[in-house]
Amino acid sequence: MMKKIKLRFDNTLTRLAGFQLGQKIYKEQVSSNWDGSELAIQFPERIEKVATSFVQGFFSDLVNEIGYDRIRNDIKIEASSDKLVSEIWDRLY
Amino acid sequence: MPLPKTKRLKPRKRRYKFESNDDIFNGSTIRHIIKFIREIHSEGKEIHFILNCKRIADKLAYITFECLCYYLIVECKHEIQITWSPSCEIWSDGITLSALRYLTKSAAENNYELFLKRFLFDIYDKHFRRIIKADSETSRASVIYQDLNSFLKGLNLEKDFIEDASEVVVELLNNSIEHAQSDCLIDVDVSQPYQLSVGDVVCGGKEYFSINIVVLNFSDKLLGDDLKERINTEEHHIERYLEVTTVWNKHIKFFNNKYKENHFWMLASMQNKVSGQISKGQSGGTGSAVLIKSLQKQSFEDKCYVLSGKYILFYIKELLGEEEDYWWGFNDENDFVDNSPSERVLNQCNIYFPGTAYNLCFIAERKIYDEKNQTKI
Repeated sequence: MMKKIKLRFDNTLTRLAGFQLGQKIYKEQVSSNWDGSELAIQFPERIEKVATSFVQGFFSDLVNEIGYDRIRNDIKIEASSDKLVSEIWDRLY
Repeated sequence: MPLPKTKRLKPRKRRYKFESNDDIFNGSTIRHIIKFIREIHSEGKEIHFILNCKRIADKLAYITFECLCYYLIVECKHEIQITWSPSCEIWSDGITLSALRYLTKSAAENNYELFLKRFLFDIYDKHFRRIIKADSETSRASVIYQDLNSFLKGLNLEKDFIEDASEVVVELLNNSIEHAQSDCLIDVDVSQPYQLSVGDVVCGGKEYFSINIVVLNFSDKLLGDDLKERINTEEHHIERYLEVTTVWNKHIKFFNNKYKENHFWMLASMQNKVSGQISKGQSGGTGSAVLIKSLQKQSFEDKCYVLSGKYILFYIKELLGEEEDYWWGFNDENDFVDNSPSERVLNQCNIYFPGTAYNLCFIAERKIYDEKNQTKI
């Protein structure tokens, strides 16, 4: 069964940027709650844009541990729009 | 007979005067100003800058001068007066909203409080200025991303342009904080409308505006230093960095008076999936080039370069190439691996800039709306 993690951010944030912030969010909210099975990561509805630096920071540990292909296969991203989901994946590469 | 009364007078501050007759206020002028400043060995003086320039080279030129004035006022406790009247041009239109406007009265009358306030933070009319501390919270870049996006939305610009401009600024900010680990200055201005002219003849009825961006930091680390250290000290198993090492070995034979080693490391650090930070492993390297190229495609004309130390790299749209192999060529061959960068992208500066500064200026056609029927003309 796919595990879902809903990411939490400061209520005032509608855009995300920064490698360090991405790493921090992953470490605090995903890493300790995930057992390596299939995973859905949900960004809050109010998040409109996610910059490349955040995406790369968020996935940096995973890229080093399991590589891009497994990330793409095992992780699903949910966000306020399909366009944003697509942008997040594009920014990972 | 009683002695006449005397009054103890406040000692007058020693006044220094710097005068320049350079037609264009540029790196050469700044070099002379820096040399002049070095000759003042004590604090608390009056300095009068008389600059007889007709125009300012670009945004980075006057922003650098602003930083020098900030240093003179805050660190050296000097009082400053600037006498100048350069013409407004599209690349340097933001000078009218610069904090320097508070230093144009006499040294004693100038409003230093306002100068310092506007130097550190401004959001007025078409001008956005922030100083971001290196030790800011991790969410600071996100807040700047939002603030800048909101600011640009209020200026009737194309939506895609706004998105790309705000993202490129915040990614350069992120690079500054992470790599240089120093405070970062962001300045964005949108110009008044201009018409295209050849000599004194106005061409057509179209109007143009520019969005002018400077992102800079002062640091011991120059652009590319981290990557050079990483390549030279770390054993690599990551393919991307093995490739950089291979490219480096090929490019050594290209170095000459124009193409210097520092240029190579600057170019390499701009490539996708290349980062100077060991902690980033395989990821990292947001590739400022892709964001800048996107803005260039939406612009009529642009002037984009990065200055670090003495070395300048120009982002020339037709030479950037495509990122099919995730390498930005910076040459006619669209090939970073086997060919040297074009000499057109390489330059050196009159001054040593202690850090990294991006000067990104884009000119676009101004869309005019008919108020009755909301039609774009």
